[in-house]
Amino acid sequence: MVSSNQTPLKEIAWNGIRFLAPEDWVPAQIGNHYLMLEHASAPLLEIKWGQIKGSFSHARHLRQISSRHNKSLGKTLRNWTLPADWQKSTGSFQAGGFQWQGPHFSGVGATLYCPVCRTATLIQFYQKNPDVDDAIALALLASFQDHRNDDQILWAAFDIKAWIPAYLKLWQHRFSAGYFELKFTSKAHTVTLTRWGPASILLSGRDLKGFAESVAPFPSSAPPPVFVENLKTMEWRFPQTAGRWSHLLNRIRIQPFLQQLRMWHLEEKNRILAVRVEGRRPLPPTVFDKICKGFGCV
Amino acid sequence: MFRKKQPPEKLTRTQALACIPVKGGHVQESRIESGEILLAYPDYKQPWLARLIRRLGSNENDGIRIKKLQLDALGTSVWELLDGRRSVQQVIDLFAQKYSLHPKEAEVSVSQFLRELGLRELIGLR
Repeated sequence: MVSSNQTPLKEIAWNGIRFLAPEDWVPAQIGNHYLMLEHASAPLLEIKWGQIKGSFSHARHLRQISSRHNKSLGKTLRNWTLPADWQKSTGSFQAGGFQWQGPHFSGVGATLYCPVCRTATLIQFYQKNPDVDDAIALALLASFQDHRNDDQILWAAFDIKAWIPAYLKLWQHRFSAGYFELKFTSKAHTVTLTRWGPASILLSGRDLKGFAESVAPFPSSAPPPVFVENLKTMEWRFPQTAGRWSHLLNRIRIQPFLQQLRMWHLEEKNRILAVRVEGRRPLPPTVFDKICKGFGCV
Repeated sequence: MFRKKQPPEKLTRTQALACIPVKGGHVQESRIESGEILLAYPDYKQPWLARLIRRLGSNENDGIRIKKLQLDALGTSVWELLDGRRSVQQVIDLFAQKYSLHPKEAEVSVSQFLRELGLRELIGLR
């Protein structure tokens, strides 16, 4: 996708929100409800979002943020009327604008409130940076979404993309060179998505099974893996022993069992991906399959 | 004389990426069976430590010993890209292209590796 000023755009999605940003803007800081994007180590954009209890007021929200920013970051915020094209780009959101001034940077921003999902989002553009122009800001605001209707949440950062059921909440994330990990948890399961690279190095002198055994130690009683769809995808299922005692032991166990693991080699992207499920019982096969199919590299 | 030493000026990111890494002339490289590179370089001890070692009758010659560093496959490919003409940014781009890595990922891993080599005085930046 290309913006009006011909900058190629890519989708960034994190914990419920999604938007298009220039493809050379990369996340510099990632929190559960916070993103900071940079280009060439210069900050460009900050986004914070969260659920609002009760009614939303742009002025009140701005006052709260302003007092917090004055104290901790030395930023000053003041009201700013959104230009007509910005207002148009925000679509059905209740939108307000603000200007901010910090010790090194200044910029403009918008607060967006969605009355459907009651999420308020604060978007701050770093205006002194020449990489932020109006066309990019408009493209970003026009593409911004904070909820879906199908109970699936998209996660897309750097080169990974995953669709995860909304009931699985983000627990941990890690983006280090060669190793990305997103860990989600629910009452009954922990689902871990992992991406390794470059696969050509990791798989030199061993196959996918050998690699899997080196990164995920299996119990000695582990059954052999099965191939799924093609020879590049392997899946392990770890059935628990049947019986009353085993069932009881399973219930009181603190450490959950490894239940399912699927690992595949994306040859064209030179990556290895894996989905690992831990819990007292396996994920329903359809859910597991959907998570695996929704996890990929862009 | 007692004036506080000024810390060396830090390079900006752009300046650091434009630097050209140059292999140290004292580093000897050889290739092992697996195709990876083995670097051998002299480890100069502090003069006072070298004197002490000599007094204690050590066999070490003038306090110099040869240290070895075996690079892994990725380290080997970065080392091979250091030709004394390419800048850090060019090395990063070629490395990212070779292994289809995300540019940020390549930048982090290559710069960390070059920093390690720099700390061991195996390379210098021009």
